[in-house]
Amino acid sequence: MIVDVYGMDNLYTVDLHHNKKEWKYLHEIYVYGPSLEKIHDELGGIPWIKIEERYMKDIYGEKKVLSILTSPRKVRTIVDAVESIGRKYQYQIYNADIDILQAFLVKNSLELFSNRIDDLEELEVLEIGFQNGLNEIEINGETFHNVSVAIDEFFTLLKDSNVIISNQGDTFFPKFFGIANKYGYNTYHRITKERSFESYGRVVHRKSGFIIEGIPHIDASTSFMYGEGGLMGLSLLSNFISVPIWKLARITPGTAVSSYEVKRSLEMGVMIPLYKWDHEEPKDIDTFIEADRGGLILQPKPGVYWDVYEIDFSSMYPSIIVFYNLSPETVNGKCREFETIESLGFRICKDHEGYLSRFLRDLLLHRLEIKKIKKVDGRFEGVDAVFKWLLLTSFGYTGYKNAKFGKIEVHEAVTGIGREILQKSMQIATEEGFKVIHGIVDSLWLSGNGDINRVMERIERETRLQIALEGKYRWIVFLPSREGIGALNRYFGLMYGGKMKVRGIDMRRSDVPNICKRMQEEILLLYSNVNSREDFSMVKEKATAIYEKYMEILQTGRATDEDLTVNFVATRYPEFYLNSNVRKSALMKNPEAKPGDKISFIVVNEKSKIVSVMDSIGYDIGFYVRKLKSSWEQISFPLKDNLYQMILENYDRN
Amino acid sequence: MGRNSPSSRMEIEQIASEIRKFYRLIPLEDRELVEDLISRAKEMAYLGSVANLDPYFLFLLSVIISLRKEKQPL
Repeated sequence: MIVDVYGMDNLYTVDLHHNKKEWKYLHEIYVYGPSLEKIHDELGGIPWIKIEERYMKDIYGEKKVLSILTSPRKVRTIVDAVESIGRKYQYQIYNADIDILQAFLVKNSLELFSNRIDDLEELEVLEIGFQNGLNEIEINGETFHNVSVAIDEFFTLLKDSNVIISNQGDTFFPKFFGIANKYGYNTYHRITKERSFESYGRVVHRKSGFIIEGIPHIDASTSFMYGEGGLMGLSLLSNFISVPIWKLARITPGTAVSSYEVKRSLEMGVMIPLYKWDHEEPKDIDTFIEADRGGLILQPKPGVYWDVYEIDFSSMYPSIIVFYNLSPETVNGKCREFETIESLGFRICKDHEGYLSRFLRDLLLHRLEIKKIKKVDGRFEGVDAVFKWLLLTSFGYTGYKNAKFGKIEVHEAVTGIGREILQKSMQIATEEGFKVIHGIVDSLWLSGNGDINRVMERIERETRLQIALEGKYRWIVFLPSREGIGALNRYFGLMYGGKMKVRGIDMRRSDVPNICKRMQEEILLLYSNVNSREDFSMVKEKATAIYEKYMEILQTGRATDEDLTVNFVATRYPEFYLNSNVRKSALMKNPEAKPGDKISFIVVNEKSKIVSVMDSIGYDIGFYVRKLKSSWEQISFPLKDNLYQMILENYDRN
Repeated sequence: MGRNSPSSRMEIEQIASEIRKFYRLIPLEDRELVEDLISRAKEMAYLGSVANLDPYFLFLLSVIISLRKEKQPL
């Protein structure tokens, strides 16, 4: 079982028993264009490349190309040369920016880790945590206060380990390994560049990664994928998409799904373009406006609703891509048989299965299988989570400008079909005696006495997509926005069975003081015993007492630093914040913070924009009281609305 | 790539902020009245997610439906 792969020209694999093997690898890129002879003549004489004409396919069909075989290190030089000969865009270049390690693994049919979870149990894991920088280091559960003793222990255990899982290793390993080097412990390691980027509207800061050659290192404190999937999830995904685990731990799910598509293309011999040529097609303004919409989100009426079903489409968007055959080459492409999306006027080819739909079909089936196994084997919990993330992001990538298999028309077709499906489902639910309370893209909240199973059966039959019952709420509260109309994604409710589902309220937000969250949590615990309208009236007094208790803590200056801490994610450097406010002040007190970093602070004086980040120097009572009142407004809404509903009911009866 | 045109909710919001510009010219009670109409329009803004309507027409239609419902519940 291979646990690591690294290198550039000479590649190395390391197996479970620490056996290292060296491989020679030459990477193949392809060039397509009007006069290939010109490239052949210009580059043919270079001794370190092998060049020949071949027929290869990209997603649009077969092409006569030049295949250029060279060492991975020289790929960029060849690309520059071809672009220079072809004045940048005369030639299309393929497979030039794909991951060398992934291409090497696919070409040699090598598997990383194993696709059997039992095999993964054999992995020896070395855990190291930096609790207080280098002053307190925990290694496999044992705490060390002396760094030289910790180094000895670490490097002794390292010999028998296959994977390192650290807490803040990316931050403290450079210093730790630097000291170790002075003690004679030598390892080959490198540090990747830190960067800030935007993902799904959020700014993320990726710290430098500390990569140790031959033994994969995962920093659990910074890895989203590890946090979701754990070692099992990451190892099985590494096996599935042929990307080393240290790399997987440092990429987003979107990049992982893109890597999966690249792997499938390599396996099928489909060339992957360096630059995409699928530009947006010209369209008239009406089609443009019609097509350029997102998912359908209804407008709920604020209030407390009783006996509500929530039904959700399972992986709606990837399923649409699969079942409606959406792929860059099948949407408005050349073909004999096609289906038309009436609202957009897009033609979907039916002659053959699109590449994107084929890739995602396999991913969907794989996830369904994992989901089934998860029910009987708890070890698959994390595995299911990472594959779920891959499917979730697979759709978004169709609209991303750099996605290798993306095209904006595919993105628009998916959301267009999604809107039609949700409307169709609403119609079915209404016909079956339900009232639609709310709907968000792929979920519907329904109240009524109809047969929910019949509704779901009809939806599945008529839309071709799977739908599942998320649950039945004893009661659910849709909250108002500041203007009084229903907030789209702010609700909480108690399901039959005791599960409380909470979305969008303060206790789920990171930029709200902890004291407000604690109050909401405590009141929700109270609500978990509410089974009827009368119960809401009965808990009103207790809920108010909880609110008053926290209010008193604040007003008497007894709140702790933890209660008062407010977090936010910096979206830019302080000098680029236009308005001067407490957030900017907090950022200025953290000079090392980068966009995407989480900043914690306590508001000392909101008006004067004074905050504290380290030391307790008092707090702005007015600021925190205002925040607590706002959180109380949210959580106490059912108490007021319920009273209103009861008055209405009594009024009707009389 | 990605979304280029504003959503119907954003369009209604734009109309609302345009309307609010004349607030200084009218008495407070009239402002409340206009705010009520704006919130009625917002309640139905989602209709523009599936129908390609002129935003001003959508605004007015939403207000009319809402007032009609209030006068005589359907």
